[in-house]
Amino acid sequence: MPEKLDGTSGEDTLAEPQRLTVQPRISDEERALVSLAKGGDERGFAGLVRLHQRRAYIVARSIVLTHEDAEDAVQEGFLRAYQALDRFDPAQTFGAWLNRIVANAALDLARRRKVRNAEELTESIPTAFRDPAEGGELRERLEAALAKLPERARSVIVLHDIEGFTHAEIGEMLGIPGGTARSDLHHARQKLRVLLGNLRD
Amino acid sequence: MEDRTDLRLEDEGDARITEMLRDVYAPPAEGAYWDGLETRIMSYIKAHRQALIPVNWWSDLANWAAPGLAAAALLFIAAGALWSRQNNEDMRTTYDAVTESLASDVLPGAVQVVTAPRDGSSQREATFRYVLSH
Repeated sequence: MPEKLDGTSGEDTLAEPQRLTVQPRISDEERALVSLAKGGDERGFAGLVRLHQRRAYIVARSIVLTHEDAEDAVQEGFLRAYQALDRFDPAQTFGAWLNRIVANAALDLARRRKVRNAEELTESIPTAFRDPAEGGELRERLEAALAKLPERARSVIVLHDIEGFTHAEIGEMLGIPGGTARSDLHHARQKLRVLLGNLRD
Repeated sequence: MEDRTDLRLEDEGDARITEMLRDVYAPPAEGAYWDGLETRIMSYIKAHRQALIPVNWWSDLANWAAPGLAAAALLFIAAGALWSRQNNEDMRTTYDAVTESLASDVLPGAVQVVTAPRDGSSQREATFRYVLSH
């Protein structure tokens, strides 16, 4: 059911448990890699990195402002996952577990950056992976507007609207209820539209 | 049914923003980039492995419990022996002092043992009293 710009939709009437029954299945390959990694085999963990680093990057990039910070957050997230591997419950998917850890690492990094460079951050234009000049002025303004959004608001927009995660998945990653993710998304879109008012014209 | 909802766009402005957002947040496409990131992550993990906090630290602690108990028992025995020896010496000193004191009281002319006064009076005063008693 389509969501309107005011954030309302018939989807709101869906029962939460019904949504949560959709669980991605863990593949045999992933299970074997987890088992190897838990046994101390580095190749097992390297295989998990290969499988999940792209998605982990997307999660981190949605929270932090720069490509470089996203790389650092992914790196830190994988280290934390490695350290906590013994506590990983094989009943859940490794990807979902990892994404939550990476999101936390990215949020920590974003907060540290904010504290360190509060003044500089609001005035600077974040760097993207691609050449910032290629998009021109409009792109710069978009990036500046994104920088003004709180981390959570920015991440729910990117994770939902660009990457296609569900509210429940986003909630799980960011440690908030799915309903809160939905509400955050609604407010984040509104704020972004205000910030980009004339850009949309 | 999942709760994903596409960003519904009412006008071209929103479509433009969404397109630009996709561009800004597009992950690198080259395979070489991901190979490099994987290498970087694994190197980082290897470098920081020493700093890992053992998850089962209590089992490591349990391994040290037996040697720790043995060391504590040895220390206790040694301290007990030392205390016992010191106690014996003190008793012997007290016994000697009492017997000497008794001997001087019973036998006239015997050497009188003069102990230092308890009230803090000077050595000179003690010497004076000794001389007077003889």
